[in-house]
Amino acid sequence: MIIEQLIYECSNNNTKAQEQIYRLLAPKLFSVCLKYSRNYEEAQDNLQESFLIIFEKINQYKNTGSFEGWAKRVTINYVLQQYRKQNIFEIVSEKIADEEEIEIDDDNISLEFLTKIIQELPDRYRLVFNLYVLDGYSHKEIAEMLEINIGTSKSNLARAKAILKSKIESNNSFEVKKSK
Amino acid sequence: MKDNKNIERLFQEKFKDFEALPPQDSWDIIASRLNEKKKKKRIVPIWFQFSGIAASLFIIGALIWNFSGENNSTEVPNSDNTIVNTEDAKVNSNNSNIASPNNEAIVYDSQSNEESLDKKSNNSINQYNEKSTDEKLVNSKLKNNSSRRNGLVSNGKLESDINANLNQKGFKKGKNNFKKQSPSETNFEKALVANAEKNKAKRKSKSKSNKNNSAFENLFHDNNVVDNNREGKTAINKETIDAFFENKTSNTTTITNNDSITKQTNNSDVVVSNEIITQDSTLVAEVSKETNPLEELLKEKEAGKNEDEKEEKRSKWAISTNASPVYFNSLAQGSSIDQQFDSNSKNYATTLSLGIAGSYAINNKLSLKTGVNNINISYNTNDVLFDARMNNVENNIPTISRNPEASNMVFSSKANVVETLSGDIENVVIENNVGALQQNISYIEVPLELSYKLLDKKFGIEVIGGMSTLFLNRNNISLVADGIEMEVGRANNLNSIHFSSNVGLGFKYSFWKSFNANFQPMFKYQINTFSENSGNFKPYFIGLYTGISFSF
Repeated sequence: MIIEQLIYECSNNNTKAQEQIYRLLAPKLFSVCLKYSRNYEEAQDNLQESFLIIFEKINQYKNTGSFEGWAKRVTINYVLQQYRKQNIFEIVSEKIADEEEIEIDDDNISLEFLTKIIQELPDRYRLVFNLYVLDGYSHKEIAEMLEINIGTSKSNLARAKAILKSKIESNNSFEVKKSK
Repeated sequence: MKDNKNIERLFQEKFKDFEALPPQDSWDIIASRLNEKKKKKRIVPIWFQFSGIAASLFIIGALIWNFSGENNSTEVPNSDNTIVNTEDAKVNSNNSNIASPNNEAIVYDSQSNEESLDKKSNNSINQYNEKSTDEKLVNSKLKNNSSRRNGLVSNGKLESDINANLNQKGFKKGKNNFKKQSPSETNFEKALVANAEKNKAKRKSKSKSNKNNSAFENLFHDNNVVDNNREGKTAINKETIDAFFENKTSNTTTITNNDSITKQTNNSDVVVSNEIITQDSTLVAEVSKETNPLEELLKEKEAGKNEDEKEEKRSKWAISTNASPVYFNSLAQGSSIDQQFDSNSKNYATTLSLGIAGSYAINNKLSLKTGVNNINISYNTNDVLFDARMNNVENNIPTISRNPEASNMVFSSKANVVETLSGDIENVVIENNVGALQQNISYIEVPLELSYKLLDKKFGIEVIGGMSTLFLNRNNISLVADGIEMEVGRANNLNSIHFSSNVGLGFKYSFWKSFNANFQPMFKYQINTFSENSGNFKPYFIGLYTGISFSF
């Protein structure tokens, strides 16, 4: 109920309410931005722009789904829009790697590291990987969102996973060496 | 702990509750940008408030006018009804048998007012009109009274109806002196009168044993005549006689009644014509059903034609020139120069505004106008003490950016100084150095106005509402005193662009083809003229825009 009140106040351009909404959502949306962006600075820019859009369009939010979900979609859409502008989606499809299993020590892998290697992925691999694996979009949806075909989406995902896997493995061996 | 894992699962688990605190300054950046947006937005809404007021005034005016316009148009047909009324009176005076139940009809009642018939309740059961060859609309009404009455009366009525129908059909009936070539109303009335007298005589010889009493009423109905006359299309000499059938069965009983009557009187003519009545009446009914929609179509067509003609006449574009005396004033006492001059008297000069404008007619009521006007505004702030010092002094009126030659001048309000100074000598000095500060401003005004035509004939009236954007063109402040006029500097609190909210009325007179003479008194309230320090100065001006427009 409180969030609804806040949303209403935001639509009246109440700065206090806007700040509260920001405090509430920023950690979640910043994590989205971190995953989808190339680096920390870009993530920060994307977060700011996304919040401006959220406050601008807050009266378009109909209390149907969760507000957080709505805000997240706005953020993802904004980020995708940036890449669409940059025309980075033309990458030739590559061979699909089939090895997906990875031997891993859970505790040794930090979230920072995973975030870093995601950010290091080529733009479209990163977007497809995020959308499919972390945010649960189907290949069909991804194909529509990124204006690519489904096959491309699938091969991009496979390539992304292959890259991530090799990076984790090399990190593992590095860690193992260090521990020895 | 080592484990074989699908890479998707790994990331999903790790990022499941991933949250990251954004850098501290993120919110500050967002907040400052939100504020910027607010400020940008704010300029427009203030403006909308004023234009909203203007627009609502305008709409109210338009609505009021529309309603009053509709009322006027419905009043027209009355003139024709009064003609019918006079006819009523005529017939009444000639024959007591004829009564008028309402404005629209003459009822021929051969019962000579012995009984009052319930006429109004039986109105418009069947109301038919027919256009005959001699442009007569002949209708008849058959009315059956359930109460027992003198049946002979109905016979008399029948005959008159017969006459009417025969006349309509073009038959001659020698008995009644009723001929088809005499369709004029007076003849017809005379015939009715004669007929009625005859019927009276007949009635005396007839028995009173008839069970059903049928009354026939002739109604001179003028409905269509009214409309047609107004359109000026159909002939003026139209007569209408309405026929009302209360029900079909009553007709048949009427006929049988009259059959018996005519047997007694051996008047076979009546029987024949009686049948004609019923036949005619049904004929009339059928024909009128067809003619009514036709007439409506005709009316629509004519109305459409009129609109088309108007459409053709109206040209979309027009260009106009105008000149206007501009009366400049402030809604509240105050001074745009300095607070100390708030209470000083001010003279507002009447200046001239010149401009050209173009307008585009959106539809036949609304048109959009824009153009360029030059406006000069000049006003004096009186009772200003001035004093020229030897050295440059600190500028005591910050809103005036001084010219170098005026930098040694000190200005102050006489009222303030008189209060603070005492002693005669100073006062004498003061008297010698009293002048006025004259502020001259000129603007290029670009109006954008919407006008709504209330009247669009040779003489036209319209209401106008809109806004103007004013670009500062000239701006100076001079000192004017006895024998002195000196440019002091310029006001630095004037915005280079400001707006005004405009409302006004427009009058036009089209004197030649597509040339109109225009006169438009306008009230223009100035918005954000001054950037700051304008005190309580709320300027407006009233312009009487006069000019000529040419539409092409």
